[in-house]
Amino acid sequence: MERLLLEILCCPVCRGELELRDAEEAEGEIMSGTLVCLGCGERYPITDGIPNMLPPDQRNGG
Amino acid sequence: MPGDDEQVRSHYHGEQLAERMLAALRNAGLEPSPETLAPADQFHSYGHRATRDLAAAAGLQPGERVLDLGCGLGGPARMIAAEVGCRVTGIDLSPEFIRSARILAEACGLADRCEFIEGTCLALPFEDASFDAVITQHVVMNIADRARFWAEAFRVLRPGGRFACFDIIRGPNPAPLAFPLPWAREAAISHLLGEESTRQGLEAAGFRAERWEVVPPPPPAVFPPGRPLSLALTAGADFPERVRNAEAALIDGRLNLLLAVLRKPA
Repeated sequence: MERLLLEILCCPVCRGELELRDAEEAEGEIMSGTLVCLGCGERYPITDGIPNMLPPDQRNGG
Repeated sequence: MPGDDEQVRSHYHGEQLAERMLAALRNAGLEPSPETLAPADQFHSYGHRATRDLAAAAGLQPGERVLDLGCGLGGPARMIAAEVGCRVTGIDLSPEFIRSARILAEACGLADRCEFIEGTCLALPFEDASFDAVITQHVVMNIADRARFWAEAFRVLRPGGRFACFDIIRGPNPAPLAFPLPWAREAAISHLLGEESTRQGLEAAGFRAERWEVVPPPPPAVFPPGRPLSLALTAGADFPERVRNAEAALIDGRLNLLLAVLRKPA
């Protein structure tokens, strides 16, 4: 994902601000890391460049 | 509604979709582009023509930020990014669709203008007023909580922004639908509304309609065996039967197609 996306992403549960942690970047893109909500503490993984922004109780599909 | 989401996600299941699409194009000697991929990645009536019509109806402009709700494999997102020059974000429940959408955007050289996020349209991970336009095509039939879907679309639009939708709605003929249909193999995940309820719901969300048009049924879909790509590859081998059922219901008025553009007041 592009860094630009961080400007508009927020926590889908509480709409709190997200902080990017443990980011690994390649060619200007964030390939992996964790988005941590500064409001409720929920964590959203970035895997292979894709953020999984599903609320935690709706993950593990597919 | 996690239970419903889980059933919807399993309906839109697939494996290695991008890889199979790109291989099929290669075998046919074609380069990947929004146009060459369109037979397999535009999950709605009228295919990529509908996406172009919707982009024009919404008045999308170069450089605008656009969100595609229920983006599937990202075909419309790539087409709008390539042809209009918008920056398009797609969100979908299906991890395989999102994974493939990203691969296909890279293959088309559009990765800098399209991004794809796994998430739910009922709890969007975007701040208020993040987008100039929100589009959606043939998605709400799977959404029971329509009010929440529209409220979320409204919230993430900037004041003055446009919501453009191309949807299947219940038509005036009250006879029951025959399943399987493209969006549901059984009734449990099919949530259709009629034209009036749709309009009332959108207005209750705060939108003002600027264009509202019932679109005639499309010509019957064809699935010639020699064609490299078709929706049978990406939407399931039973797709031809499902689309026949939908086409019959569009012709006898059990279903209608609705194209609408609505504005969030400035």
